[in-house]
Amino acid sequence: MKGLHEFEVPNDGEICLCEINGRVHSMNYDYANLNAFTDALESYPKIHITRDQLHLVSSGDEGKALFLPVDVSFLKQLTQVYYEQGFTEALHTAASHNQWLISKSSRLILDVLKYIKKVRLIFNPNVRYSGPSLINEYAQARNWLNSTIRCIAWHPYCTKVAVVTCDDSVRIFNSECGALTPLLRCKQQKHVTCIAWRPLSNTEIAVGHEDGVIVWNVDPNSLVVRPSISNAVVLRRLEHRPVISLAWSPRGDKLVTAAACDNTILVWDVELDQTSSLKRSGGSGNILVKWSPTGERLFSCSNTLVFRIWNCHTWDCERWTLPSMGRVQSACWAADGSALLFAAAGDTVLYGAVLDRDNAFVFDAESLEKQACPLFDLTCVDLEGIPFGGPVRQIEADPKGRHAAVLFQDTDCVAVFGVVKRPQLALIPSSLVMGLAEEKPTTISFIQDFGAGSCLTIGWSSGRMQYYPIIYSDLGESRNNKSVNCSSFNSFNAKSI
Amino acid sequence: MDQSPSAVTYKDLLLKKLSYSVICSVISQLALLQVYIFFTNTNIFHPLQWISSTFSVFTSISTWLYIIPFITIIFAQSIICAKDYVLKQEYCSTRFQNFLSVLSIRNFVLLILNVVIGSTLVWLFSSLGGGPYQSLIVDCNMLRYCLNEGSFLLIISGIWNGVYYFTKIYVAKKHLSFPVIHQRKLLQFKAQLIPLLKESIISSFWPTFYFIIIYMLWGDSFADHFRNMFGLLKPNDSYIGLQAYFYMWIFGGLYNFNMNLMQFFFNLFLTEPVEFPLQLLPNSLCLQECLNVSEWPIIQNLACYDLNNLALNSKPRRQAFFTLSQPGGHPHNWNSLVESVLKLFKEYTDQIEKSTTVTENLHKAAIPTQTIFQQNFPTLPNPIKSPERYQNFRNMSLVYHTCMDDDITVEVSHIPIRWNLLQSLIDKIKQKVNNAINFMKILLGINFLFGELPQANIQKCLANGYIVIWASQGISDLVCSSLLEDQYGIVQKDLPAIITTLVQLKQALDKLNKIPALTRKMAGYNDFNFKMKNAVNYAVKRSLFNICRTFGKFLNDIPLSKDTVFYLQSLYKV
Repeated sequence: MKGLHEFEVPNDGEICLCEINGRVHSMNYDYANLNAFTDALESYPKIHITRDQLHLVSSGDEGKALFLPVDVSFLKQLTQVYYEQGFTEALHTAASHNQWLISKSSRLILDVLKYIKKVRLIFNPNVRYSGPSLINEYAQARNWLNSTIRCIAWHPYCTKVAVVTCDDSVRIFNSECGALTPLLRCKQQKHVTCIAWRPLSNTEIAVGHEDGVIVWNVDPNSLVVRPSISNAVVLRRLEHRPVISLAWSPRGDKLVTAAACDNTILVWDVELDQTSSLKRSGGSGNILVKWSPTGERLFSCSNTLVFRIWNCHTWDCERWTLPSMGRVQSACWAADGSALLFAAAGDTVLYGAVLDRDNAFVFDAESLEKQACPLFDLTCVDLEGIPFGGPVRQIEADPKGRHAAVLFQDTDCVAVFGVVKRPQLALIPSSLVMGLAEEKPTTISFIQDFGAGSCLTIGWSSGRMQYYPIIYSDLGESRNNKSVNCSSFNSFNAKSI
Repeated sequence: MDQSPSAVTYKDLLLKKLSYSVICSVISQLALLQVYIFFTNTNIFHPLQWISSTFSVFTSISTWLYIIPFITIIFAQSIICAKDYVLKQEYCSTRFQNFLSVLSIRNFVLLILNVVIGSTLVWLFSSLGGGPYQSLIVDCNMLRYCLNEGSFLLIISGIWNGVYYFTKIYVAKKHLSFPVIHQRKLLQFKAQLIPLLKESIISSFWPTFYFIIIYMLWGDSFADHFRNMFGLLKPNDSYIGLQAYFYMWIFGGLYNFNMNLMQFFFNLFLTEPVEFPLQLLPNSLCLQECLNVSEWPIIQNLACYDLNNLALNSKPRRQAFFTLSQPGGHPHNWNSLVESVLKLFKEYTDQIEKSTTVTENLHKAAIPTQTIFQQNFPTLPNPIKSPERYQNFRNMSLVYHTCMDDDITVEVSHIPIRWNLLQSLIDKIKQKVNNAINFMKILLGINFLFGELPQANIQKCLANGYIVIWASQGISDLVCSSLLEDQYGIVQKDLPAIITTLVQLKQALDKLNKIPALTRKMAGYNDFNFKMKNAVNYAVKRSLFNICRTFGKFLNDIPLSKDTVFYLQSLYKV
């Protein structure tokens, strides 16, 4: 098995900027300028979200630290607590005092509440969702709780990117500089975990959060910077929370969501607010769903050893299990949806499974036991004083499935691989992308519609988003023929009108 | 999807589906009864005895003597209900028609059946399950019979449940809902069973509560009547315990569950996808024809769903449309498909346009118009209408019109003034009479009863929403896959027609957004019409988007009208 020592580390003080025709270019980070190598990214927005751009949620407690506590009468204190922190806190305060009747009765009420909660838990185990720390454990983003950029999603056809920041808002950046950046934010949208643009639509984006999903409709012609919730469809089910992953069908008619405390996966008809549930035994929650680019398969993984691959025509599933303890932390479809790359939580091996047995000479394809094979050893190594490798946090592949990028849990660089499907699935080490000093990568994503090759974007802990293009200059011709992007349609309009 | 395509006519196909659902609902009743007996015979310390007693109760002849009439009624009920799901629903345009449609003989029979089922269900379950309410009559003292009031209460509550369910739920909710994805039937059943039971038990709480109030008020007189009728005595302690009310709630829940289960089975079997044959053959079903059978909505729905599925999933079936006939070399399959799909869209577009223009006119008429000009010049060719609310604005157009008045007065002055006065007098009287009639109509509720309901037509359109969603998605997927799979270029010649029709449909759908009853403010979040309007709208939009995306580069070679191109551009713009 190949290991991380096969990677080439850039010279000291230099960072990798791009890869052009298989050659990695790096530069000293004081002079780093991507435009020196390629102009393919000129029209893309430059994103750097600084702390003062964030609208952090204020809890109203900031002023409290400035004041000294004083002795007030019991009743006054109780009313204050009730106004500021609510009924249960007031009960707790009352119970902690020694006012015999009030304290006793409040203790009694607290006990009753406790038992009611226990009974509810028996009937409906999904209400046990405890809070954002659970999301922090399962989310794809590294250090989800504290990172500025939590999630990046590129629009499938246009130069448009949605970025989730830690203030629970989604910002949408367009290609034109000076254009408005709509900010999607509302009271219901708390602890955003995942976002996805709706295919076959220019305007819709699904935002998965703690309580459900909000599908926003962002009109690009509107001058409103903060669209109101009335433009959105709010989807929620009481027992389906927190939504931790979502995926659109390639045709945009179905939305699949997984929740960390619910072992059913829901398939939504967004407009009609109807659901069908995919439910099989194993696990008390699901943490990741990914639809294959061709739309034939759906990957889902539970929070136990089991993960499944669904056939999207019949909705039957193949059950896969990990050999040892753990769960799948991240996965992605590679090589046009015929192969799956995945890594287990806490494990340092990248596995690959080929699902497409299109080899006509294997007659008894069914009898062959399907097995994933270990592709790459990601054990932490120390090259020239920089540690990298270790457990995997997130894997992403570019839309054509020719490149994959791996974000590690503990070390500070992103590994980029080339994916080869024939003669057998293999990963070829390509480059290591590092940030500036003290920067940690938090999330990665590939641009969905990048004509010149593929382009990885990395969100760093400083709030900077970096582009790492992988360009093939000989692709120039075929790009014009193949991809049908928005600009070619505009030219058609210019001609015919 | 395991249905064979050999079904010859609509009726065969439907009969098959309906008979499965009827059989399943009957069997489910037996299973439910078995489970109930199992629970009432609970004996934790002697599990073997528990099972054997359950078994012996269920297999005894007397039990089956009870069960058979019950099953027969259920059978009759489901057969009568089956018709509702299959036949085209009639939409009533006035409240009065709505009211009349409820008062039919069929509904009356169904009501009776519901009542009978409600009471027999309680009777059957309580007598087989044992307990204090096993029999309506108890032997009190010395060979004299008394009425068991708890049991009496339960049976009356069963009747109440039947009436309540029929009037509240059955009359309102008869449409089939297609699941988002089609899994195997057993899985669907498993997924739905527990939520259905939960929902039934919860939903039976309020009717039980109402019934308790009714019984508290008039219960004694019911019981007295009954006792007098059969010469029964009043027992010494006629106290009804809390236990009876609890039983009542549970039986209410079971009754609801039974009925919901029946509905669920109809839904399950009728919405199961069918693969229609694609070849045009005489005396046989084929997809192209089924797309247009509006008299059998369920067949039409299934055909559209099949089109949607085959366009998405099945390459060999798609190929049937991209091949030429032998001999002759004509694309018959494709031609007939396009013909019927376009016909479907056109009809739908027309329907929407008709209903939207009606409501628009209604709105225009509702705006109070300024009549000064009309009164002065009754023969004015185009009476100038200016809404009252704009009167205080500086209205340029109004100034323009007043300038025109000079010319008009010249024209009008030919008419003798006296005639003019008489005419205006008659008009005034006419208006007064009209006003009085209108006022009477409102006062007597005639408008309320016989007035046209504004959304009836639109509701009718939107109830068929699934058809348009699937047909548009299906045809757009077919067209898109033709780019790679259609080697003869069969689809190309119809591309302009398909795009134009879809654009027209989308434009008609856009008009629905202007109808106030279909906006979120009015409809709230749970309204089916509002949701369906959005679903159809977005599905057609996505279909057009899909075609634009796939053919983007070649679109300027397709002959399309300027308006269509302009619309596509606005749709596709980033």
